[in-house]
Amino acid sequence: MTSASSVSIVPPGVSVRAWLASAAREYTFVFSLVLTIALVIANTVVLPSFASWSQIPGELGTLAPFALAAMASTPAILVGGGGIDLSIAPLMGLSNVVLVIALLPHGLGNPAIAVPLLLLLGGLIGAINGVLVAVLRYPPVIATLAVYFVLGGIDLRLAPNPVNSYPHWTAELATSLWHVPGTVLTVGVVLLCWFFFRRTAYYGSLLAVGDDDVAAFSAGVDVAAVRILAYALGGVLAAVGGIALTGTIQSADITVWPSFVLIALAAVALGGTALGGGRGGFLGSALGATAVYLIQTLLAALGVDVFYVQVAFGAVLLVAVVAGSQLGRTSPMWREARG
Amino acid sequence: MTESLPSVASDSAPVARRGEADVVLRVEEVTKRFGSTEALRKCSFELRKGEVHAILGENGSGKSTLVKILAGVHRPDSGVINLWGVDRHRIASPQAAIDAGIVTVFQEVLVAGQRTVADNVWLGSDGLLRKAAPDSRKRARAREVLAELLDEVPDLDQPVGTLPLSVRQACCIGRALVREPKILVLDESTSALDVATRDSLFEILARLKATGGSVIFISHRMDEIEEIGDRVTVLRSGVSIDTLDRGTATARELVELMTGQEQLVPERGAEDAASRIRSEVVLRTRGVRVRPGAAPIDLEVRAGELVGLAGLEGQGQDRFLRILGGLAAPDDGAVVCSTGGRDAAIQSAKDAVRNRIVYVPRDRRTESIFESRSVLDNFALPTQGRDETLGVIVTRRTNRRFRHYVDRLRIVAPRHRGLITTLSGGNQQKVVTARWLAANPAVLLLNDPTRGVDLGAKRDIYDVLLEVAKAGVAVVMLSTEVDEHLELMDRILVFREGEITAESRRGEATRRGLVASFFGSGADE
Amino acid sequence: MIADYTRPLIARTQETQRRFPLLQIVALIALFLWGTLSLPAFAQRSSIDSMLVLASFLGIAAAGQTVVILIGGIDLSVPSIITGGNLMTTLLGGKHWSFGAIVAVILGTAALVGAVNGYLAHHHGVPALIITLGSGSVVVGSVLAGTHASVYGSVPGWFTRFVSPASTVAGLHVPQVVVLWIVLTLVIGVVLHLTGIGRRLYATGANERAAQLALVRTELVWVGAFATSAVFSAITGILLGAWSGTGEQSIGDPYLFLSIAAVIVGGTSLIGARGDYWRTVLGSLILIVLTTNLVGHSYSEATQQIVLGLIILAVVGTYGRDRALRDRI
Repeated sequence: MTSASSVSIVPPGVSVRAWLASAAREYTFVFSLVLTIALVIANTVVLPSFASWSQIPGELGTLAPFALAAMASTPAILVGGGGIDLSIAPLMGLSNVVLVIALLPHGLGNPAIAVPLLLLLGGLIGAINGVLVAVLRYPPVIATLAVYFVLGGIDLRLAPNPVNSYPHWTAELATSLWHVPGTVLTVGVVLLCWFFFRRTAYYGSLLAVGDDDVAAFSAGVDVAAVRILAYALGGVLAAVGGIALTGTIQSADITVWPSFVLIALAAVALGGTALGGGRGGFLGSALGATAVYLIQTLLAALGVDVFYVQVAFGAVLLVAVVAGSQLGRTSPMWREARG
Repeated sequence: MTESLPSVASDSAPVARRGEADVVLRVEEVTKRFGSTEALRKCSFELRKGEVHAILGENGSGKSTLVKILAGVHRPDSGVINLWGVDRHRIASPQAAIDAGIVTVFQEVLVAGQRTVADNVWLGSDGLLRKAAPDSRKRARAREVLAELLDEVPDLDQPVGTLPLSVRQACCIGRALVREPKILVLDESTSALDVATRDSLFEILARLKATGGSVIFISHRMDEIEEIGDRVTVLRSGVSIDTLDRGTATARELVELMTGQEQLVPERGAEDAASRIRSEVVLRTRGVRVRPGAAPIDLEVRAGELVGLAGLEGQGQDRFLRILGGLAAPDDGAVVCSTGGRDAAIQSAKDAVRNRIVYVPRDRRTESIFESRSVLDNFALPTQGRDETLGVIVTRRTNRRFRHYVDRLRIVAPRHRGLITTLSGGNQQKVVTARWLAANPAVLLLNDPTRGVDLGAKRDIYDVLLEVAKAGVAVVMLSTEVDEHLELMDRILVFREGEITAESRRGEATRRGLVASFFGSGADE
Repeated sequence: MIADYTRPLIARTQETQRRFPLLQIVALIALFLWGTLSLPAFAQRSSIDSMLVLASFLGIAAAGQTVVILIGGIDLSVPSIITGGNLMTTLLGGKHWSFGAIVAVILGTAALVGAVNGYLAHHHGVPALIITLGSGSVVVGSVLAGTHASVYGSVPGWFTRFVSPASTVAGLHVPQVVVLWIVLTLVIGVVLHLTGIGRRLYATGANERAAQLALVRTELVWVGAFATSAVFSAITGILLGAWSGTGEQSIGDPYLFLSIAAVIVGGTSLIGARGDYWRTVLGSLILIVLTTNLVGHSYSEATQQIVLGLIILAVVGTYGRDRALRDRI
């Protein structure tokens, strides 16, 4: 029996690898932050105009849907139980299509009307995912994959061909609004909300459920409600992502969203969110998305064939998840459980 | 209040009722079954205000099930739970239990490893959107509660998974205390605590009593029960046998209540024991420690011998058996096997297999049975290569091999191609046993093979084990049933706190003596 | 009262369904009748031949998916490897490589990719979903970059005839590619049900821990299963090369949800290794007949996709759900 005086299991002589692993566990976004900074430097070196003031708002505008897709995919993964949301990308597409085809032409284009409507739509669809997973106990992969198909079909139905929209307010989201990059409004506001969200009661329950749903359940947490809310939150963020996407493409185009599936997952993994749940956050996902975006711009600036970007994304996803699983293996509780 | 021991032929003995106002919780004739096993059979139990009520019982007596029903995890099949005068048919969920004032610290240390100490102490207290208290107040209270338990309060922001088990358990207890329970249920919650923390816990329980709260205390440590238990209820086979006040029964008498009448257990295998047990040692451990700091175990197992590993759950015997099979690494020491004529170190499952050591796992459902496969497939998997011609399996051959074991083990399986799940638990276990016997082992390690198996099937399995022992196989078997040890084993090794604390030879042990050694100091003569 | 009747009936149906895909056969017949009665030319020779050929493509693509789903994984690289195989076929065919060499190179590469998928997923405990998503992207990106996505290659004439619905075999009016599908079906059936490899596969999917304790090398099972899946996807890609005549960037895309749907609709469970390839064959036929019907009735591709998503939810809802929390304490 160990005595209570040896409170911490990490003695002074701990190996560097274990120390690094524990640091990475605590500040999950550190790796993606470092990577992002390195990529910004690389990009600026290759193409000096990259860092110019006139370019940045546009770059941020293109980045916004990446970051929002990544952040939207995060809650479902955080909440654990094999959680994942594959329907985020088509939901972004739906938000894009509904805005351009249903809302704008019919006098509902005013942001004060359109934004709440779209957020509500996203939240409802997210909640449906949540109910399928938490109440009906579908495996999250299958539930969200089926919803992915259904939403994809709806997207295709509404906009079989790209439809241009007349210039409207989302364009400013992709550039700037009174000298402030529009992305500050989309991504920035979301990150700000995340900052306050971390102080809520729900946040603690979310991570606890993701970490060990049995422990949370035994302590009286309403695990089903926590999970439904997590998926709903993802849906809301996907809707925001669709709005930001509309800003960059200024049309309803369903050929755009499919690539976001992989990008979102790669960004989340890069950002340090554990695939098993219980660890991670929006900041990491946003930084991961930024890193992914910067890889794309770097390759483009280097004149690399656009198809190699696909290769790069796939490779990034693979490396990120494999590295992430290795980190998980060094945790003391994991080692104990292996007996 | 009884002088002599009550006769225990009938089901639940009547519990003394003394002043209705005193009773906060009454469990009335609650029954719960899982599949074909009846975990609780019309069990009745009563808890008074301001008392620490201990519950004592062997493996399988129903204690855990009773706890889980009170905690809202399981729902009783019948019976009534009366809480503060209000009848209920069930407690719907852990949240409902907590709302009703019953807070449980489970036997398993359930913590969210990546969350901080403070988070874990307050886990479940918040509503969906609103916090139970402001953060500063939470931290202060968490520190307070942990300070009452531990000499050194851990860093509140440290992830709980990096802390030792005793601290994690303290967090679980702290979690319960912070809810200010009116009824606190502690299920073996002192198992990982050190003495100082345990004493602090007992002081907290005394204070809880003084303010009118009640405690249900489940433990297998007689000394603890003696120290703080105001009353003790003994459970046996899913019923409550009797409830006794403090000081009215000795530890021996409690053990008698737990085990029931001393029946004569027929001994098997005694006749030929001398000729059966060979002189060659086939499996040996040198200085194996099951846990850090436990006494080293040096064991020699001979061909043809039947060795039993006994004790209450979680005392180290499960880990020891898995160490023998190369499935777990010992904290110290080595396992050596001599089946092939030479000595070979057993450090992995592959080593074990290569040396004809076969391990039959404990939990059928998670470790042995392929539920979507047929009876025949479940039997043949490790040995199916024998039935192959040019890569194709000739089912006729598998059938022939299987029929041999169907006869020996008396397996009731009318359709070999039917799903394994159509068989009873006992027959499923026989198929698993046949699977491993077919691998022609030199050493057979069995982890609680007759759990959930009916009496007839048990006897059949015993017969086969004796047969293989006679043929020279060394058998090491973990069992949670005392009678099995008395009936079969040449040697019985009792585990307690990760060490072998008692050893008996065939014919020496009695049921009471064995059970007494499970519970340790005070219970032995 | 009604519940007293329906509950045992449902239970008995589920039990029969487990052993024999009765509902699927009924559905297939019903869908076929619907088409025959409501659409002109649905039941004509040429129409049936076309459906059979399309079902062959889907069935072969879904063969790999079946194997992977039986061990509890899923393969999202199917569309990418189909596209890759397709492009490589037309490219190398245009360079006048021998057909045998083309097939050997493509299948060999695919097997390697699949093996890596299986290894990474098993060894690192990362969901196969994500591994195959990533590797698929790497593969398709590499092939597109290598072929510059514009492939005006060619395929041997006999090969074009092979996949044509109008081809015959020994005088019988059966398209040649369908015969290939039948042969593959028989081979897969034999391997899954009659060989040790098949038994080990099912054991790994049914209970991996028990399989390991029963001396099955589950890491090899994973590597083999994903390699098999990649090879079947590559075969489909090669066949599609003959079908379309040129390489196409997105030719594999519909096969993502179609291959998964074919397995699920056929009744193979996503957990616990219940099912086999016969069911996927049925599922493929059902899907092709269904989509032909929908197209014939002028329902758009969009509607088809929505319908498929809902069908998946319905089918999985009847047998594929997880354990409740309270049973895990």
